[in-house]
Amino acid sequence: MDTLHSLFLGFQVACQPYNLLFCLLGCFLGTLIGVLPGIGPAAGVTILIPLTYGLSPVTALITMSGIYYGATYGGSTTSILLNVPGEASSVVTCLDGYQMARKGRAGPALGMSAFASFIAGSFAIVLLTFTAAPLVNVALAFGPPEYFALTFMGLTMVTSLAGDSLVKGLMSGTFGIILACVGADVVSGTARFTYGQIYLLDGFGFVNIAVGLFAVSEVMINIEAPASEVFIKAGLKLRELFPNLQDWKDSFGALWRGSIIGFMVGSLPGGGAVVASFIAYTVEKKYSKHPEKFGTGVIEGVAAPEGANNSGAQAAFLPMLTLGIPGSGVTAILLGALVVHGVRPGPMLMQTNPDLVWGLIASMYIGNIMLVILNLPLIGIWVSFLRVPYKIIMPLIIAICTVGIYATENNTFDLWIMFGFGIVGYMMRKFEFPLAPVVLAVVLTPLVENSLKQSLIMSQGNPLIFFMRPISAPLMIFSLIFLFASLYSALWRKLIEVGKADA
Amino acid sequence: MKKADRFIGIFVLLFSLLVIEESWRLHEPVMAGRISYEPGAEFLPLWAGILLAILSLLLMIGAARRPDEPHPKSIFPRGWVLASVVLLMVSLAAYIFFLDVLGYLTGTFLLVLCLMRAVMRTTWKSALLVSLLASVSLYTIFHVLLNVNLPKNMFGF
Repeated sequence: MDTLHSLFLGFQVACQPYNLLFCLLGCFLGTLIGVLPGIGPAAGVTILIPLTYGLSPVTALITMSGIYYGATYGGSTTSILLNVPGEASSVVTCLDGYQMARKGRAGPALGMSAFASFIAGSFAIVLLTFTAAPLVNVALAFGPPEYFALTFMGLTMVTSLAGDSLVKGLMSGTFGIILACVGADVVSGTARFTYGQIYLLDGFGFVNIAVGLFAVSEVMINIEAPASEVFIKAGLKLRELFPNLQDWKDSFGALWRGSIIGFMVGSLPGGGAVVASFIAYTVEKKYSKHPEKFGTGVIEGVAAPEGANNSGAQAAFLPMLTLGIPGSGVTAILLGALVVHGVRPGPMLMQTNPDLVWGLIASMYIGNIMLVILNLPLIGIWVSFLRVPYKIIMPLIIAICTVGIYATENNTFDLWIMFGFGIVGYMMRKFEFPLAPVVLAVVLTPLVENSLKQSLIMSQGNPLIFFMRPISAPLMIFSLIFLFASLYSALWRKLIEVGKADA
Repeated sequence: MKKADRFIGIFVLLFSLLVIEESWRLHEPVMAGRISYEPGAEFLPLWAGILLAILSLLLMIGAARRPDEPHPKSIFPRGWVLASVVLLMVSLAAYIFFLDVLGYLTGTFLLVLCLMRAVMRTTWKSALLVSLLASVSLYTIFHVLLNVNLPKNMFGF
């Protein structure tokens, strides 16, 4: 009953006209970012952080979250129509979605992707609603050692965000740890790596790093390889968008399997929408009676990944809201944004700011409905946005970034930090280093360091404390196993490759 | 990526050595008579630096073991495209440098104009229109509506 009561409170917050308006704005911007290839949700959310300073933390979070899950809706549009994924989470949708469009069934593909997103997304929020409170109750018993184990687990999850090269992923994460060390040490007050700059005593500033790494470097990359401006001629009338009865029958299994996979993968730290969509598609292909037809335009191949990526995107909020552990790059940015707004994330969040947590959860129910409306009848509008030339969008992004950063602290020093990290981000993309581990580490490192020091003070310097307490021990063992398993599998893959090359 | 990995590996190795050296200098001896259980300020950056050094070595070893690519291509663009990227960086740096002198409105107008005309190579007409609209509307939103203090030039805007 408590949960329902809290949810009711959440709806009271989310249904205030002001919050409704900003939820709509978030969903709108999210869909736009989703539709436009080249601008990802991470960049979209970071650009928005400075713009939300004037808002209350709840409204800001509702808006930014809307961008995140809205982008997973919009990403499928260009996947289906142009074979160009709008987001990483809809890469798999291209496989069957585009083939359906080539067969003249673009309408049902778009419709199914919107419905699958809605159904799976709503499923994930219902699960999120009812698992959040019990999880928090466990987490409330946490002391510094448990918290260290948990944040340490979050850091090891960097490996799953690594992408192609594990070593590069780990390097990005370690780089993030070093960046987070800049500034005054919280326990001793010693200034680290500040070189006499008073501005650096507070560190680089999360927003400056994130905007530079994600937004500024994204513009630089887009200048190099402008996403092709394409015109679409597809009769997209509302009636043509509805999948027929056979389509529904075919996709029913894919839908619920995708929803469940999405939730399970998404709620794990390091999971998120992208991984969920890949796993769901693979599973669906294995389960199917006709796996050979996958890739030729079957509707299950659209329903499964689109369901999974939305379910995963919403589920990623579970570890973030209950434990204060970001599961993905975007939730790391959202957590950083919360800190900027003066909210302390962690297990206490649900007690100290119930309006924030439940307001956000309730807004996600509303946002899902808004997104179906935005994506079905209004699909034509989004397609026409593809015609707005990148030549206008890119300079505008730079202008919005700079004014937002300046507005934070009213000094140009932060702009230089943003500029520096823009170049760092550009170089990292060029040398194929993943960016998400950097922000994840920047957000988590202060938590890791504090809880480590507190725990060692508690145990009078004995590091075994982490392995002797009932909650922290399994968490530590799990993260160590996870870390070594991914190292092991990476080595194993290398060995196989070398073996193949020799043969 | 083979050559690029080797290059960036050396670069990161040097960076991590710098981090290790600088962290080492942060070490403060514990005062006599006081027992300290927690690690000092140098603990985390020092170990992160060591880890980064090991990882950069691994990256270089991995690159060396890979077979040579038949047609290694440069990861950086050339010609016009490279010029555009560099121009973007230079104009952004110039903008930040002169922002306090030029004032927000003038500075942003010039930045967007430069990006539109020189980097994106649009026509003068659309460049002027977009930069005017962008600078005025951002100024209105942030300065007039949100009361943010934006830099002013000697004429007050």
